Amino acid sequence: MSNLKHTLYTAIQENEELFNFIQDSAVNGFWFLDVTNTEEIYVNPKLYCSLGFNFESIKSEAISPLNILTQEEFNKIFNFFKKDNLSTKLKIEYKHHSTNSIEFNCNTIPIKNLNNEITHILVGHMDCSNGSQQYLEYQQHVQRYEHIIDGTNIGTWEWNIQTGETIFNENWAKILGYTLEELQPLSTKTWEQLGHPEDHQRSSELLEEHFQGNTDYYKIESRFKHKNGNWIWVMDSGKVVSWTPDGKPEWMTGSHYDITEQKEHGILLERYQDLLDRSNEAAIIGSWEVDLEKGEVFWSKVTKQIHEVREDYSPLIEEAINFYPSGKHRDTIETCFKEAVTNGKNYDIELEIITANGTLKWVRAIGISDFKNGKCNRIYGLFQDINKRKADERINRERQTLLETILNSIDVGIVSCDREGNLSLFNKATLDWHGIPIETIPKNEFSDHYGLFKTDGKTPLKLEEIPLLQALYTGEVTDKEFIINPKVGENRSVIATGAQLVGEDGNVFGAVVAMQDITNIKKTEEQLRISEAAFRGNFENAAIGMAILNERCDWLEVNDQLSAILGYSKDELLELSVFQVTLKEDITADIALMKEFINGEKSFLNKESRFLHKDGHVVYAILSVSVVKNDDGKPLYFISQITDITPRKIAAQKLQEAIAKLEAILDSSTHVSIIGTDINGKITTFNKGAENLLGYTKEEMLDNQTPSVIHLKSEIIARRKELSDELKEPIESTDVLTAMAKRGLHDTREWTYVRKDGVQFPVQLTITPVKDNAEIIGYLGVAAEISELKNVEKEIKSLLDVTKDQNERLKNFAHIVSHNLRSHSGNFSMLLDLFLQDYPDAQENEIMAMLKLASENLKETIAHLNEVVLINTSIDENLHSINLNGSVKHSIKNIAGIANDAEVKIINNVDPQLQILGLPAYLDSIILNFLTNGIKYRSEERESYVKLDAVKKGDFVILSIEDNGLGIDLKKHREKLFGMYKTFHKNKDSRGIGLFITKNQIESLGGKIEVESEVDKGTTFKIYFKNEEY
Amino acid sequence: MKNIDIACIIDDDPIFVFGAKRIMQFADFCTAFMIFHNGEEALNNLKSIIVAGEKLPDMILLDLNMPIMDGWQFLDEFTKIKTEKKITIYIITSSIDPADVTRSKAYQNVNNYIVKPITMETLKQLLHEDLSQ
Repeated sequence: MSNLKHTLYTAIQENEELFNFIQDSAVNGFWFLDVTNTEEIYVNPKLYCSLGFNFESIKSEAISPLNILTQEEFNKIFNFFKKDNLSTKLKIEYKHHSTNSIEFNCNTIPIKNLNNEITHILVGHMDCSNGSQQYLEYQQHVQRYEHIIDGTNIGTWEWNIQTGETIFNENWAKILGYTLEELQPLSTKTWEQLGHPEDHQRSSELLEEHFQGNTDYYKIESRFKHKNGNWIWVMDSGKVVSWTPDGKPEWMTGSHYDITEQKEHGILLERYQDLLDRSNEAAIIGSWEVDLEKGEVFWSKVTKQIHEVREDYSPLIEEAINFYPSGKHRDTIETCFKEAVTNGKNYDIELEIITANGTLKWVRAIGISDFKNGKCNRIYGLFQDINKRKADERINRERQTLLETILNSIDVGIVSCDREGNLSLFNKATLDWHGIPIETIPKNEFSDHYGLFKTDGKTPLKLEEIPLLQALYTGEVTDKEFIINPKVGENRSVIATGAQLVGEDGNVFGAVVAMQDITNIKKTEEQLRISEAAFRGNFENAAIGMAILNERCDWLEVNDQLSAILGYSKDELLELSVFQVTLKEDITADIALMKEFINGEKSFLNKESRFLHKDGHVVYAILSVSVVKNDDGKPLYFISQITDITPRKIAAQKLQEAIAKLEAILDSSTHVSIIGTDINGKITTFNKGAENLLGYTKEEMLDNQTPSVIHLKSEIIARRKELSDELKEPIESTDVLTAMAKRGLHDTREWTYVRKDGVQFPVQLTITPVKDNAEIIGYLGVAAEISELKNVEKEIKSLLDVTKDQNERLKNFAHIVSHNLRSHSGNFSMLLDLFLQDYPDAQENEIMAMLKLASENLKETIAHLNEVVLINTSIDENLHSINLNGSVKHSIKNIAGIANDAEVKIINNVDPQLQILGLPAYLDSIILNFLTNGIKYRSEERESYVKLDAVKKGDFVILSIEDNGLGIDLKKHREKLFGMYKTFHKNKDSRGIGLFITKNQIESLGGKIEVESEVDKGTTFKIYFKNEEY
Repeated sequence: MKNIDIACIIDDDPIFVFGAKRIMQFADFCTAFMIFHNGEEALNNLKSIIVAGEKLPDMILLDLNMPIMDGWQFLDEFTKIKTEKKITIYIITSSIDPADVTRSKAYQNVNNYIVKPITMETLKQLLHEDLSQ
């Protein structure tokens, strides 16, 4: 077997498919078979379990595959495999532990060896096929119940009434001190032998009643012999669960429950009670006897005393009956006596008699019949005066009624118990609270049954925490507060007080607990706590200052915000009186207010108030005060709320100032007319300036006038047309002035104002809407007289015309220079050339040579003029970003030859990152010019250099070109340095045009040039170019 | 140096025309001249030469500033006329306006832009360029 198991586990390790198969298909277990040796089958425990075998028996290997499979079924399966059936699904029927058969849906998987021959087969068990599943479930239910019953100490039995077969469970035997095994073999005999003989008859009767269908259950308290020899009491109950087809009871099941203890207690109690009663009464009773045969009546002395008859009184039977008042009492005694005589039945009754003296009293009459051979010979008995007891009983009953009424009418829960802790009383309140009356349940179920919980409302009270039991056992209640959370009804918090009940003999005979419902108190307390917490939270965290003051205006409490408003710490504030932080001039008024509060004239106040900050400045605040009064209406304390409105106040003051300033401006603008209108165009503001300019008084204009009176009608009409076109909607003539402003458009234009005296003058008028929030509430027209401006404008215009004219002429001049003059000069030099060719002898002529020179000079001059003319003065828009270092490098390269020849060192320190705005041609020309100058005017006395450097400064890049050459005497020549045809050196190349052109080029690029120089030291030119961000 | 058959000069300046002719003759630049005093005159005559199938000039020296029809207008009209023979046009002007130089480059059949006055050297250079093409 273990070989087989080992084989399987090896196969699973090697073949994951097998593992998955078991996971998926062996839900209810599997078995494993060696095809070559069918004797051996390995069945896994799960399958046994699925078939109802318990785990213990599987482990002991007390079962084998044959327990679960019939030989036929086994053969069937084996044949199935032999046929090499491709299908891997089949149904297999098993014997269930309960001997029923059960069918499983199975999956199989073959295991092959290297030669691809099937060596082993694994059969996995899925679900049960139809019907079997439900059976299996029932089986599981039954098992579960069995488990439950096993956990209790209830014995169960099953009995087939027809066959006599009996089944007992382990507990059944255990109750009697045996194990089930010891009682084997089990049969009805077992029951008969162990049962008490005296109970057999009653048991049979009850069984018969049950079989007849008269009772739902067969139920009997009967005695059984315990293994230790004692009789024990058993509560035996059962029920027929199945019937034979012909209506006879078949199976009956039932239970045994050991009730010995209860039973013995009960019996003992009964006996003692009896004894007690009898002995107590014995002392005060008389006796009597009636001899029926002789017809004699005997009364003892005490009996006679009870009847208040003379000692020598000898009653007759008929007479005796007359002591009982006719009616209920006489009838009762007659009946009882007759029963005793005829049936031998004893009696013990309490009745009223009327004594010989006519006293009505209660007696107890006990009669015992001496009944022999079906005949009563005599009756004897006892006679007891129980009048006092009866009277006491009545009083007690009345008291009890009274107490009960009290108990049940008060709203206090009263519970009492006896000395064992058994509940003996619930008053009405208690009953209501628990929702259920007293029920006989074990003490340890009190909490659950009556819903007793700790104050958290969740933890049930432990036995020793139950107040009643605490009172009983310790004499006091320590866990006073608890919660009653009944199964039906609402929760309530209660406080319990309790005490032991001590009898006259000093012994405790019980305990009583009084419970007070504090639910509402708790709720109120909780609400109070919440509102207190809420107020506290409010108070501490309020965004406004809050304080509580007593009626003498001492701070009782202040919050952080108040201390922030006033600049004092909370502790400091509490040391101060309210009046120390109140502005002096306000104190009297504040005290008066306080009085109004205290007198009850006011209960609430809300006003602006002033306080003094610790650093001395005035704090403006809105002070709200409310009064909390006691029940008598006297103020207990004040609650003040202080909102700091200082910033608002200051802002308001500033606003006030600003308004005043604006008003002053409005009036001081004597040359600016400011006219305000309402939304309908009626003038509402007319300042001094307007009065000055227009000659109307403010009063005249505010009298329902509109600005149209001061405008030229023709202008309004023209503008109206213009506006209608522009805004593409018709504009009323009254709306002409405000049309633009109304649409949120800027409106500044020139108008002609008409003075009161008819004089017209031009103004520039700006009209803006006056808005209150987003709504236009009027318009403001600000106008400045522009007569003078107009004149200036005219002048400028004429000047401009002149300039334009001159510019035009300059252009013509340029044209003349560039074209006509050049052509003539060109012709002139060409003709000279031709002349010399024709007349070579003229070469020798001095005048001719001079003429030739003059022609050359003219050509050159014209060339220079051209360059100057060509410098465009408006090239701003054509400027673009150029790398300065690049241009410098380029120029250096161009003059490298000359520089080399002249032995001048060119040093370029220009930052390669620098960009300037310029025109490449101009920039090259400028740099080249300065470099050439530097070389040209070098000093022969030292090693020469030209150094270029550049820095960015503001909107400019400054290129400095420094040389150590001849220098320029700036004192003499500064003014003429950049003039045309100015040379300052006797250098044969100097033509005096370079710096002039360069300067013009620099300026046309938006730059400028500066120079520093010292004769025979050198010159530094600083050239300002616009930088690229300009 | 006679390499060009007919050279055409279009210029309103008689001094220039005289000088140019003299220099060209002196340099033995060409065999014949055609002289026109403005663009219109040149255009009309050249057109009739084309119509008559007579010999067109090999080279035109064109001035820009002329009355009636200036050099630009002439160029615009003349370039519209299809000629079998390729005629080299040189602008010879006293204008040193860079705008004019730039403008001249827009015309494909304008070979060069020469600033007056012309010298023998310039002419030699022109001829050399013309022949090397």
